[in-house]
Amino acid sequence: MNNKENKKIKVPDTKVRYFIFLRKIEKRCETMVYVIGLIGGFVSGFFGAGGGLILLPAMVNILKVDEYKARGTTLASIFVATLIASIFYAQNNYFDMSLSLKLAIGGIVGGFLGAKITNKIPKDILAIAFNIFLLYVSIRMIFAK
Amino acid sequence: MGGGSILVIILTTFMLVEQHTAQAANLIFFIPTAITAIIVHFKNGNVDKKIGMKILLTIIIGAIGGAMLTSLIESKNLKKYFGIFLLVVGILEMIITIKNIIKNRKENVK
Repeated sequence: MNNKENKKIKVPDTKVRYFIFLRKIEKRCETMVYVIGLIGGFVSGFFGAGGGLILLPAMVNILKVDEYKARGTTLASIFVATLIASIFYAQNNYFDMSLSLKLAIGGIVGGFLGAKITNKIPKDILAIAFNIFLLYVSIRMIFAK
Repeated sequence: MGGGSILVIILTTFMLVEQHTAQAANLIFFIPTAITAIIVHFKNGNVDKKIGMKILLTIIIGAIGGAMLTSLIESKNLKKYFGIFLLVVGILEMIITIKNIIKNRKENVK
């Protein structure tokens, strides 16, 4: 009898602990969302690029959002940041219209090709190649005259 | 993801465009290319509206702050800062990728 009673008490106890643990993570995530947004927005505005590089891994690894949802949410929120940053860039006359137009034409073709082959390339190799390229170029940029 | 940073890198290091101009070009370039992708993601239910709304609150403040600050900085220095940013992101991403590969291999062995 004693054993059975003990078991009955123990089961809800662990459940409650688990629930409290989940709530703690949830609360931490709630404040982290705002911090991640602020950093992502700042990078998007300051560098005109790279906000997605911060938001996507932050959403997947810190907020534990499913990767597909994280991609969509990142894209949508970066889009808003881009629109706002563009207004400030336009005010400072940083736009080169002919350059942007040529890039947009190339971008449409490139985006189409990329979407077609994205499932045919092993993702691990692609990610490592991309990272090596990033490291090489970043060092070149830092030490450029 | 990461297309924007590649574009800025190519424009500044290989085509010698000024950093600010390259960044502006990337911003303009992003808008039409992202619209179709966003519509598809929305239709497929891949946009988390709860998190999205929360992020929007601070991302707007961040974007305004960043865009105002960037005009105060010389193009040469901005290029260096961008390089430092890429270096940090590159190292972090490399660690995450290698961790994931090891994790996947362990799961496959099991």
